[in-house]
Amino acid sequence: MVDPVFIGIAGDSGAGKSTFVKDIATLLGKDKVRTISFDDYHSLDRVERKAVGITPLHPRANNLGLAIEHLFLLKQGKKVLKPVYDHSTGNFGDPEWVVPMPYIICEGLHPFFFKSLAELYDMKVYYDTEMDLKFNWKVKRDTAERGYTVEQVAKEIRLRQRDIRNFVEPQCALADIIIKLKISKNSSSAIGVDWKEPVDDPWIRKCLKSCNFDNWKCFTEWHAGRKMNVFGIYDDLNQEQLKELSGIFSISRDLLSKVQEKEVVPYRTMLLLFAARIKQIRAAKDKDNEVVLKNAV
Amino acid sequence: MAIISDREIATREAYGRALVELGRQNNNVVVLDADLAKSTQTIKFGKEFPDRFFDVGIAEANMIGISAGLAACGMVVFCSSFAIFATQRVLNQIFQSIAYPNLNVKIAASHAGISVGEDGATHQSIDDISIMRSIPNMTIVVPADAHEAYEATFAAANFEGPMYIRLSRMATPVVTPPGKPFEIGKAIVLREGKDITIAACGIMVYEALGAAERLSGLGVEAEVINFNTIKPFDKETLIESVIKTRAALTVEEHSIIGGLGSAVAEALCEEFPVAMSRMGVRDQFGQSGKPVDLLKHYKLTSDDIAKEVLRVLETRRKANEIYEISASTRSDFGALKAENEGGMPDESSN
Amino acid sequence: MPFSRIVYKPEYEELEKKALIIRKNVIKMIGKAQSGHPGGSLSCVDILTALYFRILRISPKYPKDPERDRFVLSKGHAAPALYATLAETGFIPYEWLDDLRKFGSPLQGHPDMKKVPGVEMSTGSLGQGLSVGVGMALAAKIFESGYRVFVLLGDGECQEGQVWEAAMSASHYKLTNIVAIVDRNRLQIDGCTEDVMGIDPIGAKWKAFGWTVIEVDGHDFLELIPALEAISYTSKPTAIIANTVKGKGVCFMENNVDWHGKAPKQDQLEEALKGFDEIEFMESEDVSLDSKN
Repeated sequence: MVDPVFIGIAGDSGAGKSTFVKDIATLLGKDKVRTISFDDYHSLDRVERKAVGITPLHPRANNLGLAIEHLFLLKQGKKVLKPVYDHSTGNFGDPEWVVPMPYIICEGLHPFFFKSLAELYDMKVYYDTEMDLKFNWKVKRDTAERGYTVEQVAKEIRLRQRDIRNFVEPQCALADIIIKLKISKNSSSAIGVDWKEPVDDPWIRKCLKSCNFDNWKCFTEWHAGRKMNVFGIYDDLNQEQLKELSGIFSISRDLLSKVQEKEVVPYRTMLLLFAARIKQIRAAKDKDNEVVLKNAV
Repeated sequence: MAIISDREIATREAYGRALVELGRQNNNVVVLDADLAKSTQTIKFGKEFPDRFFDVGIAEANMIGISAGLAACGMVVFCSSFAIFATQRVLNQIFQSIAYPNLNVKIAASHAGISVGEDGATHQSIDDISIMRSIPNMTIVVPADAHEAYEATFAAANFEGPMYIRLSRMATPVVTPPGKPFEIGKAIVLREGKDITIAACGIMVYEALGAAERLSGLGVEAEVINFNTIKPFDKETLIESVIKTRAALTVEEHSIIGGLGSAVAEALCEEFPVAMSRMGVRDQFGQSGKPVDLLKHYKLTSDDIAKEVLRVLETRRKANEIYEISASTRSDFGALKAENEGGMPDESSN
Repeated sequence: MPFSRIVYKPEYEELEKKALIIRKNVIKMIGKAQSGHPGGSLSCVDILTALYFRILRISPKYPKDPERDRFVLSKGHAAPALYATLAETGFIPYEWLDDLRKFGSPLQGHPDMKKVPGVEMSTGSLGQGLSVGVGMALAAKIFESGYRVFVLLGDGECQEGQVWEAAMSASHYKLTNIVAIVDRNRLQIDGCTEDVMGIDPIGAKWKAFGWTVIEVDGHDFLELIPALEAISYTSKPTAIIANTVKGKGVCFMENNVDWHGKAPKQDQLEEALKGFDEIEFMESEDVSLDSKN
């Protein structure tokens, strides 16, 4: 029976969650990963939402109870029939089967909005983007693909902010890691990453305590009522630094082999670290299960 | 609130109006149609109660099934189409889904008989009554005019069980008083007479009354009975009349096989055999034409009825003559018979 | 107003046991009557078990509760399976099963809604059950009631045109409270469905008529239950294509065209019942025809 590692990724739409999830899946091995988009658990379609007058950001527009039930069943090794939401039409399609896999990534607006949901995950990430970056991306996407003007995009972002603050951002308090993409002048990709972890649940801090990775800025800050260690990754890594990094964080060779480029941008560094972390959780789980099996026999 | 009319008005028109009134009084009334709502007049109900009206399109079998499902959940269901599509086409569906479980569905079929007119044979139902008669649990009602059709709709809603209501396309004159509650299973004597019983249904009642007027001028008094319920059949009224008149004639805008004529013949044969004749479509298909031309062609006018009455009376007179002549030879015949069966025939009976 | 509740809520192992009891009773009652349709009755036993012991909000104490879920057995010849399920849920006494198809018995050859509590519609002539289901689902909308309608069809039955009239109308009326389950055992009287009058791709056909299509193994509760529960979040009428084996449970009947409408003789009956006994977990159950629950 498969005992999946559940990963929850919460964040505003347009923050880059889907890209992040796709890249993580590639690193972990596409055949081992099942991605569940929480958009599929919308309880109202586009027409109905308009009639009621709420955005999809509102939990009431989502069937989170069903999501809890499905994740619970998946944890027990049972397959579930999950609804499917079609973004292009705004309607629902045929439900599809989800079979338990070694890694199940749930991404969306409310993957751990309730405590009962939050308990089901082995790793919860709040994925955020700096406002300037988000604005630029959204403008680029919406003006090109959907024909909006810059003013229209700005207006839409403003309208959504209240719902984001009320319904999506509170999940920061439950997240194990907060990842924030920022503008970085030092990197060739112009994007840097802030990796925030709670002071009382440190992973990077523990690994780093023996040495100092001086490319990174380290400081603490308060976030949603918790003291967080923040690691700022703003520079590209060369091959030597990458080797050093993989030594500190025990990044396995097959993960490294997927990073082909000469200069590793902060985003890719973050992916590597995250994938390594996930693999460690997987390894710990497998060991636990072995022990259980041994004891049973 | 009844319809009061002194002009010609079609029974389907009265039905459409009655449905609206019914819908206002009873929230459980649901109406279905099969893309003929403008013709069957269920459109009136549909406009006022769109949530309780289902036009299922050209899918009569589905309409019957949906009616059964609605009735099984407690609704009072009226479903309509042309008579030929609402009976012939969906016989098994009516048999199994409505009649066998005895569900509360009224099939109110319009455009019955050949008076449909120009559309021709494929749209003219000449066997709907006979088909419905052969199904157990089915009540069959044939209103003679708009007044009866209006009241029959209300009677149908109060009646618990499957029912077939036969309505016409053509505007026809009224022959009954307005506002009289419709009694299911009771034939009505509209005109008393002593010489022959004319059993008529539907739009033929008017023609029968016209024929009776004409015959009166010739000294023949016809008794005209409006059989507005074919099943259950009012045998008592028929036999009571026939005992008086000793001759019968049936008229219907329907095949002579299986309809009112057959119902009368069955009853008379078993209870009180008399000289009789059936008038209707004589085992033929309909055809295109103006309704008035078609009625004339299939011999369903008051003239034809009057002629047929005289013919029946003439046939009976001739039969009696032969009987009188043969009575004298009957004693030899009678002895032979007595050897085989025992008992002498009653010579005085005639 | 009486509150309808599911009578049982057992885990899947319990469902398997129930299905086995029902299968045994199906064969027994057809054998006793020496008349009936074993093949099509056995192929849908798991579907009926899933429905009556997990999904349907019904209660034998209130068979006429206006808020109850409706189940229509459009393939009426599978009546033995329905009767055995109704006996096991408590709608009818077990003694009735001895008199299947006997003169004077309420258990007619095809379900009669006037004679048997728990039967929602008289069926037998194929193709009509889905229309009836659409009517019941429409009534739910008129009454603003939350009950659901489940209709079980045969795959050969999908050759009847009326099924597609009903499918069209369910989609047109945007009925989300109706589920059609097709018992896809691939056989009919005159042979394989694909040889007589091919209905494949059957899933695509339902999809084209505007239904959500879910294909499942009709004998696996792990797939049947989620598929049947999907009605709670679908936005279209749902069609479940359940791939089954005609005659499932009796080895000489499985996938055999001959056993559509033939009753097993005494020796065959014994062989069939022995096959059931050989399954382990039956030993502790009392599965005689008079078993009371």
